[in-house]
Amino acid sequence: MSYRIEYAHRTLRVDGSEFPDAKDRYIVLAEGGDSNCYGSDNRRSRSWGAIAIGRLEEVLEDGCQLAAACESEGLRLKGRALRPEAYLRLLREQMRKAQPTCSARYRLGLYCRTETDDETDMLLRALPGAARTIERDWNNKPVVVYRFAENGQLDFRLFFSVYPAIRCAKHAWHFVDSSNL
Amino acid sequence: MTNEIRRAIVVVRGTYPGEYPGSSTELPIVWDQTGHHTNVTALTSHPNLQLPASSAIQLVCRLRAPLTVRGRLLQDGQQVSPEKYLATWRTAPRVCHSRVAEDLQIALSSVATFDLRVERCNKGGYLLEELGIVDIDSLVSQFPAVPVGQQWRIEFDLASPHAWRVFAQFAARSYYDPEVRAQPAQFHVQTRALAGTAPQPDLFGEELA
Repeated sequence: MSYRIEYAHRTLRVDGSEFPDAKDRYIVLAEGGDSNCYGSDNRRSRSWGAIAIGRLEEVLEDGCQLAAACESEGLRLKGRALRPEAYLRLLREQMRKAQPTCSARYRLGLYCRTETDDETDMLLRALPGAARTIERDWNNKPVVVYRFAENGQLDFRLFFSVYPAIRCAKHAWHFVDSSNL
Repeated sequence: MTNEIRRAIVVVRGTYPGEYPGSSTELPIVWDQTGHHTNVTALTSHPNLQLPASSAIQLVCRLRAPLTVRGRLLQDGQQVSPEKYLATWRTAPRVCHSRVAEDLQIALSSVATFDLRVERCNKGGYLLEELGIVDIDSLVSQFPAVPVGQQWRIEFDLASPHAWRVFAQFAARSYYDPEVRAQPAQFHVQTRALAGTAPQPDLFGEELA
C-alpha cells in the first residue's frame, strides 16, 4: 500500500487587522508526495501545496481530518509513522511560528479552480470582486478559475470573506498556488 | 453541546472474508449526555454504509475530534483539545464483541435495508458458502427478512458469531457491486441498553454528523 509522505511544512499568517473579527488567518503548506511515485531522478516526487487554511480553529478542525490518516500510517512525516496527536501538535507549532504573508505575497497565488456551474461556481459568481476566467485543464476540459488579487497584489480580505462558504466543498489545495515559493 | 461521559471500543476479529489472520475491526461506542438524556451510539465509517472501521482512533479522529476544537463536544464535562481527546480514547476499555452485553450493558444490532437483484445473488459466489449461505433463501432462513416495499429489511444481531461477517459481506456487495445492487442500500448499527440501565432512545436511522 502506498502512503503520503510530508517532508516539510511552512505556514503563512495573514494579520487579523485585515478582518472584521481581528483574528489571524493561516495558510499551512506542506511539501509532500506519494511513497510510490518517483521522478526521472529516481527520487520520490514531491511538491508544495496547501493542506489547511483559515483561523486557528478551522486549521485544527481540518487537521483532525488529515491526522486521522496517520493512525493507519497512510500519512507519514519524512517517511516515519506518527500518531494523529503528534500531527496536530505539529500544526499548532506551525501556526505558532507562522511567517507573515509579506514574505510570500508576490510568490503565492490565491485562486479557486472549479467546474462550470457547480455549487462553488454559482456561489462565487454571485460575489463581486473575484476575477472569473475560463481555462483548460490537462485534459483540455474547460474549468472556471477565480483569482483573488487586486492590482497584482493578493486580496486576502476578499479571499477569506468567501473561504468559509467554499471550504466544505473543496480541499485546501484547490485554493493556493505555491509553485513559486 | 454534547458531553461524552463514557467510551469503549468493541473489537471484532476476522470480520471480513479473506482477512489476514489476527486482523480485527473496531467499533467505537460513545455515551453522550445531552441535557438529562444519555445516548449510546456506535460510530461507523459512512452515513449509508455503516461498517466498522479498522481503527477506532482513526474514526474518532475524523468524526469526533474536530468537534472538540470549539467546545461543541466536551469530554467528561471538560473542554479538551483534540490531542487530549484522542489520548483519552487510547486508554478506553476494549471489549470483545461477544462480551458486549456483559461488559457494557448494551446490545448491538444492525438493520440493513437493501434492494438486490436476487437472480444475480443466487448465481453463487456472492454469498458466504462456508457459513451455509449460498443463496437468498438460505440467507433468509438464518436471518429473518421483512419485505418493505420493493426492499428487504434484515436485522442482524451483532452478538451472534457470524452476523458481523454476513453484515459486512452484504454491505460491501450491495454497495459496491452494480451487478447485484438495484438501489443504494442503507445500513445502520444501532445500540440498545439492556434491562437495568437507563432507557435509551432507538437510534435506528439516526445518521452521524
